[in-house]
Amino acid sequence: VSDDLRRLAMGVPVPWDELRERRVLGKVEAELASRRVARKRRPWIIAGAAVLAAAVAVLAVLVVDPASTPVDDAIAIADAPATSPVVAIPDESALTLPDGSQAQMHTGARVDVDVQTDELVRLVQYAGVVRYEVTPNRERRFVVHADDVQVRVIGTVFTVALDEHVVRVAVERGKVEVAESDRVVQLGAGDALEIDRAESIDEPIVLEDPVVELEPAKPVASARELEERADAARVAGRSGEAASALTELVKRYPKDPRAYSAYFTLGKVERSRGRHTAAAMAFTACHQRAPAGPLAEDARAEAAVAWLTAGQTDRAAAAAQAYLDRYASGAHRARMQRILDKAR
Amino acid sequence: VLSVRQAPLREVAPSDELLVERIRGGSDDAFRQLYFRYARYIAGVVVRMMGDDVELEDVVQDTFVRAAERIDTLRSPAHVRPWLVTIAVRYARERLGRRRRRGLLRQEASHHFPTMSDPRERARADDLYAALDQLPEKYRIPWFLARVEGEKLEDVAIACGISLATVKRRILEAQTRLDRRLEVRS
Repeated sequence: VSDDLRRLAMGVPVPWDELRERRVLGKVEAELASRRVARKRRPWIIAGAAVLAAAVAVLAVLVVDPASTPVDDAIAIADAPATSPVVAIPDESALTLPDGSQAQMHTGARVDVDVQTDELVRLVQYAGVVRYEVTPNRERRFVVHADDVQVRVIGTVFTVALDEHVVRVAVERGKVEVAESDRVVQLGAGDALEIDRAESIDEPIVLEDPVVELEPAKPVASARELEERADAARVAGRSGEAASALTELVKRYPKDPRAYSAYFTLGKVERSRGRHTAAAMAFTACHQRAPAGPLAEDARAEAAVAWLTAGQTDRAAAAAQAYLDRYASGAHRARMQRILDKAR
Repeated sequence: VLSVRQAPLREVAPSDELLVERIRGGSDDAFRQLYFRYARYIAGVVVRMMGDDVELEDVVQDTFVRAAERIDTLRSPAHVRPWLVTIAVRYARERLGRRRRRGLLRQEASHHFPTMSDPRERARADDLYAALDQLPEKYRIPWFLARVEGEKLEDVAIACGISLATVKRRILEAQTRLDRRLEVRS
């Protein structure tokens, strides 16, 4: 009898699939990282309370000796000198890292330490104006995130300013490379860059219309019902129906927590039925929604692969490069490097 | 003449002991390997214990976060699997306790718990889980761990925080009650 009961109990399938497994691993790693940061966090890092609400569509990469790249005409380089208000900051709140690097924060600025190890210092700037003076150290990467803005530093002095309308990057020493997708601008000492956020150079993600139309005259489904509908359709192999449900979920409930994983699932579903451009857009939307989220790394990698499969080599290369910039030792680095090699 | 025949080299998955050692040395890759080795197993234990998957991801997450932070306290690295089960059981019991206090036990189970494809087996499995639902946790969990998951009684005792003798008594009591209930249902 006992064996029979055991067989029965074990016979019930465990609702655990690859997506769930990866999702939970992402949460575990995020939780462990946040606990590590919390243990290392210092009291001086918070100033002000404003939070950057919208994503900024620019990637700013600061390098000492960047490769020569074409200048993008969509970005206007301001002639503001290094002594412009962008750079001239009252020394209201200065913080010093163990290696001597400093960040001077203007009123209302908010900076958080995300990672602080011998190999990597990662700060997250949420708002305001901050002037960074980074001690050169090739053994340690120094990165400032401002939502989608990423400033990588080897050793220089620069300022990042965020407000509702513009992003400004001003350089006092060293060189700055501001890049988005395959378009890049270099800034030298004394240059400043101002980008109107309303005229973001990052193309908005527009999901393709689903192939399968939703049944008319049905009452509006909740996010949960749509998620369940999509799951059931996927299990039954009805990928078109799954795509419709997921698309409706992310469009109708963009603020629901389910929308985040729905974008990722939508990417997989679209890929499974050969709609690689739609898949790339969904994966991109996923990591743009939460750049530090548990699925972000996978989503960035999947987007690069999907762009390549869709025949959009430039976008694939840009996505692969963005992945490598963000996850230098990530799980998909070999695949991303292969994409870059193919694109060259 | 002596000849030495070498066995062909082949890739062997690292043992649990080796993985634990690497994790203690700070290897994130080793932790991921451990996770991918046991996450599904732990998920199975949790979902069978809790009767649904409403909080499955939370319990698995808590389990591996706790494991990562407390890996240095694991005395016998070869026993990492039952150790993970112990942690998972503790978190599952906490959540079951919260549900019980709120009167939410298996509230959403029908929406989440997948069913078996064979209708006859499904009916029997439903009966079994219905009977298990009526068992107090103190009987149900040791019975599950020993009779379904196949854990050693010593490990069940550790996981449940009770003595070996108590484990044996409770499993016997659970089996008696289950048999009686299933007999009535059939």
